[in-house]
Amino acid sequence: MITHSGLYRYTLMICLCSVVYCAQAQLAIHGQVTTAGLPLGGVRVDARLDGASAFMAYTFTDGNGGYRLALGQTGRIVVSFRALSYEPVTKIIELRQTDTLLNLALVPGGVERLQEIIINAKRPYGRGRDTIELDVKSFLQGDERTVEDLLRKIPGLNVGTDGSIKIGEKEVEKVMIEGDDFFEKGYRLLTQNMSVQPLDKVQVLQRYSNNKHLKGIENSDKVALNLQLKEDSKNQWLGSVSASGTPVEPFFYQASINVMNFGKRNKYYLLGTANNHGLDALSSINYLLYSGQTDEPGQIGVGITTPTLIDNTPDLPGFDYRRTNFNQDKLLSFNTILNPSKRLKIKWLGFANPTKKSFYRNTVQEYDIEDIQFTYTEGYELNRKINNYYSRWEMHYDVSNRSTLIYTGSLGSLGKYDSGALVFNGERTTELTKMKGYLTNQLLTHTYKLSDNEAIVSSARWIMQKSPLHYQIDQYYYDDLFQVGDVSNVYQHAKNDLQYAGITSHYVKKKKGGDFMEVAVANEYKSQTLVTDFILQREDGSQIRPSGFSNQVNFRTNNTHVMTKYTIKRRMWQLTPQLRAGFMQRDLSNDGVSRNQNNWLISSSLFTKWLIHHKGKLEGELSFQQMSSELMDVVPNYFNTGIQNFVKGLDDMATLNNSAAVITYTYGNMLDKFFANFSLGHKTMFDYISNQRSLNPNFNLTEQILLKDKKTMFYKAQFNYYVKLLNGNFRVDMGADFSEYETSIVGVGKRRIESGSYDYGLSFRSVWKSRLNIHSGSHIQIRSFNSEHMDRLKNTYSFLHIFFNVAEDIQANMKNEAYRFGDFLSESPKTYFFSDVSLSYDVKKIKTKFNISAKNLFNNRQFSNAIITDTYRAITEYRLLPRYAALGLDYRF
Amino acid sequence: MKYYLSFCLLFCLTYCAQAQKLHVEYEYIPSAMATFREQVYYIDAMKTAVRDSIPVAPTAGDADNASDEISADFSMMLNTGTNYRRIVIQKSGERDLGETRSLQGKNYLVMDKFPVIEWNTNYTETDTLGKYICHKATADYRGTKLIAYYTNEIPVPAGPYKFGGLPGLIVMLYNEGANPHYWLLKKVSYPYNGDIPVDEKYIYSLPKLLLEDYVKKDEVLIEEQMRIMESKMPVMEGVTVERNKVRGTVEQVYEWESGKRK
Repeated sequence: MITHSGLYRYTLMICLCSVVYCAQAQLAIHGQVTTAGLPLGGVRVDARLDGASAFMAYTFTDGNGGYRLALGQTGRIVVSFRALSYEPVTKIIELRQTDTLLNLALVPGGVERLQEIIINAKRPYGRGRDTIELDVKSFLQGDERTVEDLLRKIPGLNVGTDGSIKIGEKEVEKVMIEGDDFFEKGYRLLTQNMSVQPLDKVQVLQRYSNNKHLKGIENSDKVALNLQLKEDSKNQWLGSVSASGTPVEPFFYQASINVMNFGKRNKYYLLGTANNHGLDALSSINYLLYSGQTDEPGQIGVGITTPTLIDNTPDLPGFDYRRTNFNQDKLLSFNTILNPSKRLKIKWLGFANPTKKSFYRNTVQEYDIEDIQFTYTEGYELNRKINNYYSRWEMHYDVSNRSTLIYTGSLGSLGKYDSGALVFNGERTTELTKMKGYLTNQLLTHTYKLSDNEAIVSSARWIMQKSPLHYQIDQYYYDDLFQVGDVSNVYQHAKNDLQYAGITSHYVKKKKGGDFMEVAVANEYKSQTLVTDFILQREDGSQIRPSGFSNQVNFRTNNTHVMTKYTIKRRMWQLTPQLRAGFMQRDLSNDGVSRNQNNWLISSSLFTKWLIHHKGKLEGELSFQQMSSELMDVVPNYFNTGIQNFVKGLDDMATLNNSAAVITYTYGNMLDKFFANFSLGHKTMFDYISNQRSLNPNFNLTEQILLKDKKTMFYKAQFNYYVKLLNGNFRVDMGADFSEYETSIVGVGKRRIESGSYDYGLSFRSVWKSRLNIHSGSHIQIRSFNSEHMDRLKNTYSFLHIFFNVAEDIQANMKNEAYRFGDFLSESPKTYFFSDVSLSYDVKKIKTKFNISAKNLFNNRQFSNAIITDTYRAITEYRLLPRYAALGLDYRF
Repeated sequence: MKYYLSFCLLFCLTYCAQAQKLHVEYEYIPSAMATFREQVYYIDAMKTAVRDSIPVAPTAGDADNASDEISADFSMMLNTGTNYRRIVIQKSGERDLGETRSLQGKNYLVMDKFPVIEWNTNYTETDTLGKYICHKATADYRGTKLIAYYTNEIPVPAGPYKFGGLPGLIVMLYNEGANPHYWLLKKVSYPYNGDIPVDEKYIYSLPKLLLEDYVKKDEVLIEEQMRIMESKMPVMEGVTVERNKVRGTVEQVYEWESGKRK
C-alpha cells in the first residue's frame, strides 16, 4: 500500500528523472542522411568543436539513414558526414536547441575507388625489430615492490616460484639494466631484490646476441630482458641478507649478504658469503667469472691452462659433494659497471676467497692380474687452505655504429696448501702439497659489421700462467724402486709455466634463404715449460736425484689454421659441412736437446638434421679428426702425481687420428604422451695413447705408449610415456657403451681389454592437481672389464622426492636416496639411505622468508663408493657431515 | 498489395543506396614465428573475417623468415588436430558474433556475446602507416589493452578479427604485453565486386557451442598437454612450475571469469 507521502516522493522522482532525460536530450543532434531521396546507411557522422581536432562524438548511420549524436556541451559545432563514394559534407551549427535535427543529402563523388597495397614499414618483428618495449606504468597496480612483482603482471612473462623467468617455455638468458649485465643466468638476485620504483620500461629482446653486431647474423633463439630506468631515477641501495644456523651442536651456519646499487650510469654489486655446511661459495659467482659463451664467433684460447700435476680433490660422480665437504668457505666480491660516456663501458670485478676444506677417505685397492696380486690401502685426512684473489676487467668501446672494441683482462693469485695425514699400507706419513700460482689473461676483440648480413670478429689473446708446485712426504716407500736406503723425506719441486698468444679473424655471413657461412683464420702459439725435480733426502742431509725421475721440458707449438663452415638450411632438412686445415710446428726440448716436427692437421665433419615426418627427426654426424699430443703426453721422464703414482709421457710428438659417426632419432616431443629418442655411435681411434704399468704395492709406474685401433661404440635410448590414469610420466632409460683396446703391464705383457658399461633406469614423475607430488625412480649401473678374467660391478641408486605445497606460501620438500653397491672385495652389498627435508614459509608482508632444513636424517657418518678399472678394483670410504637441523631466514631490503 | 510492392521497391533502393562493399586484407602476426593472412569483407554493415589456417610461406630471399624456420626446429606445437580457417561473422546491430573454431580436429560455430568495445580516441598522436595518416585509439578488452591506429580517410567502422567500431578503418592493431598479436593492413579494395568465399549454410550447420563452453573444453585439453610436458621435464629442487597463466590469444580474461583470474 503506497501512502500519500510515498506517492509524492515517487512523483517527484519521476519528474526529476524526466528533467535529467530532457537535460540529456538537449545535447544531441539527430537526423537522417539520404541520397537521391533514399536513406543512406553506413555514413560516418562526427562532431567536433569548431577549431578543435578531437571528436566530441561519432557514429554511423543505420539502415534507414538515421543517426543520433549525443554531445556533452553546447556551442559552435562542426558536423561532418563522410562515406565512401560520396562527397563529404561539413556543416557548422550553433547547438542551442534541446535536440537539434539535422537532415542531409549526400551526392555521389569523393573516394569512389580504392585498389591499394599498403607497404607497412613498421613491421613488429624482423631485422632489428625484435624488441618489444613495454611501458611499466601500464602494468602497475600499486602492490608491486620488486621487479619480479612487476614481471608477474606482464602477460606473456612467466615467473616461476624459484624466480626463473620464461617467455613461453624459453628461459631468458639475462636481465640487464640499461644494457649492462652482471648476473647472466643468476638474474633472480636482481629481479627479486630491485625495487620497481626507478623502472621506466621493460624491453623483451628476442633472437638476442651477446655480441650486438652479430644480431640478425648469427643463428640465435635466445631471449633477454632489459630494464630501462627513469631519467630522474636516483641511485638506490638494495639487497638481501640471509642467515641460517643450527641451534645445537654440531654447529653449522650459512650467512650471505648481497648489496647493489643501480644508477643510470654506474652500477655496483657487493656480495659477502660464508658457510661451513659444505657449499662451495665460489660456485655462487660462477656467472660473474665465466661470462661469454665459447660457441660464439671470434673466440680463441678458451680453456687454455697449465696441466694439473697433483689433484687431491675427491671425485664422486653422481653424489652430492656437499655431504663430504667439511669446509669453512668465505667469499667477498665487489663488482662495478661504469659508463663514463655513451661509447665507453667499463666493467670490473674482484673477489677474495679464503677457504678451508677438509675431507677424509679410506681406500682399498685390490690388484689381481695373473701373478700380480696385492692389496693397497690408504687412509687419508686432507686439510686444505685456499687463498684465491682474482680480478677481471672489461672495457667496451663503440668505435662507430658498426664496430666495437672489447678489451678483457684478468689477474689472479691462486694459492693452495694441502696437508694430508696418510696411512699408506699401514705406515703413517704427512703429505704436503703447496701451490702458489699466478695467472693473467688478456683478450682484445674487435667486431666490424660489414652489412646487415655479414660481420668480421677478430680477437687476440695473451695468457701467462705459472703454477709451481712443491710436494713432500716424510716417509720413504720406494726402496724397491730406487734401491737406496736411509731416506727420510721425498720432495718434488715443479715449475709449470705457460705462455700463450693467439690471434683469429672470423667472418660470419647469413645468406639469403637462411644459409649460414663462416670462415676463420687463426694462429696460436703456445710455449710450455715443465721442470720437475724429484729428490730423495737422506737422513744425513744429502740429496739423491734418481735418474729418469726429473724433467726439464720445453714444449712449443705454433699452429696456423683455416676453418670453413657452411650450413644449408631448408624447410625439412639442414646440412653443415665443416673443414679445418692447419699447419702445426712443434718443438720439444729436453735438457737442452731439441727436436722438432712440422705437419698438417686436417679435421672435417658433416652434420645433418632431417625432419622425416611431423613427429620424427633424424640427426647425424660424421667426423674425422687429427689431433696433436699435449704437454703431458710428451714428457720424457717420470714425475710424481701423488704418493703412489709416477707417470711419464711418450717422449715423442704424436699425431692422433680418429673418425666417428653418431646418429640420433627423436620421436615426438615433450607435449606428446609418447616421446622417445635413440642414439647410436661408433668411434675408431686409429692412434691412441694407452699405458704400460709397472705395479707394486708401494708404487705404480705408468708410462704412456702409442697404440693403434681402439674401437668404442655406444647406444642410448630414452622412452617417456604419460599415463593419464596416474597423471604422471613413466620414463625408461637404457644405455651401454663398449670399448676394445690394449694396455700393457710389466711382467704380464700386452692385455686386450673389452670394457662394457650398462645403465638402466625407470622413473615416475607425477603432475597431480593436489598439493602433493612425487618424483621417484631407480637406476642400475653395471660395469665390466674382460681380460684375463671378467670383472663386474653393479651399483644401484633409488630415489623418492616428495613435494608438498602446504599453503600458498608454505612449501615442504623431502628428498630420499638409497645407494647400494656390489659385492666385491669380500664385502657384502651395503645400502646407504639418505633423507633431507626442508620447509619454507614466505611472509611477503615483511619481505622475509623463514626456513627449516634438516640434512642426513639417518646420520650416516661414512659412505663407500665402489669402482672398477682395467687394473684394479677399489672401495673408497668417505666421511660425511653429520645429521643437523638448521633454522634460517632471508630478508630483502 | 500496393503497400507491399512499394515496401519491396523501397527496400531494394535502400539496399542499393547503402551498399558499401569493401574488402581488406590484414597480416595477422601472433608471434615472430608465423604470419597468417586474414581477409575481411565489410558489406552492408555485416563483417566477415576469414583467417587462413596455414601461415604465409616464407618468400625466397626473406632472410628473417628463413631464420624463423630454424627456430621452428626447436619449438613445439600443441597438437590441435586438423586446422580449419577461422571465420568470424559479425552482423550490424547484433551483439552475438559467430566464430568458427576447432577442437580436436572438429569444427564448431562458437557464439560469442561480444562486449561493446569502448574506444578511447582522445589521443593527439598520429602515425603514418603506408600512405595513411593514422590516429591512435585504445580500449580495454578482455583482460588486455588494445592499441589501434585507424584512418579517417576510409570512414568504415571495420577492422580485423572481432575488432572495429572506430571512426575509420583499422590500419594496425595490437595488444600490449610480452606476447603481442599484431594485425597490419596489407590491401584495400573498394568497391569489391567478388563474393564472400564463405558458405554461410555450412557455417550455420556446424555444431554450436557457447564461447564459455568452448574455452573451458579447449583449456582442459591444453592443460592436459601442459601436464604431459611438465611430467617429462627435469625436476629442480624446490621449484614448481606455474602453468596456464597466459592464453595464447589476445583474449586473456573473459566476462565470466572477471575477478577470478589475475
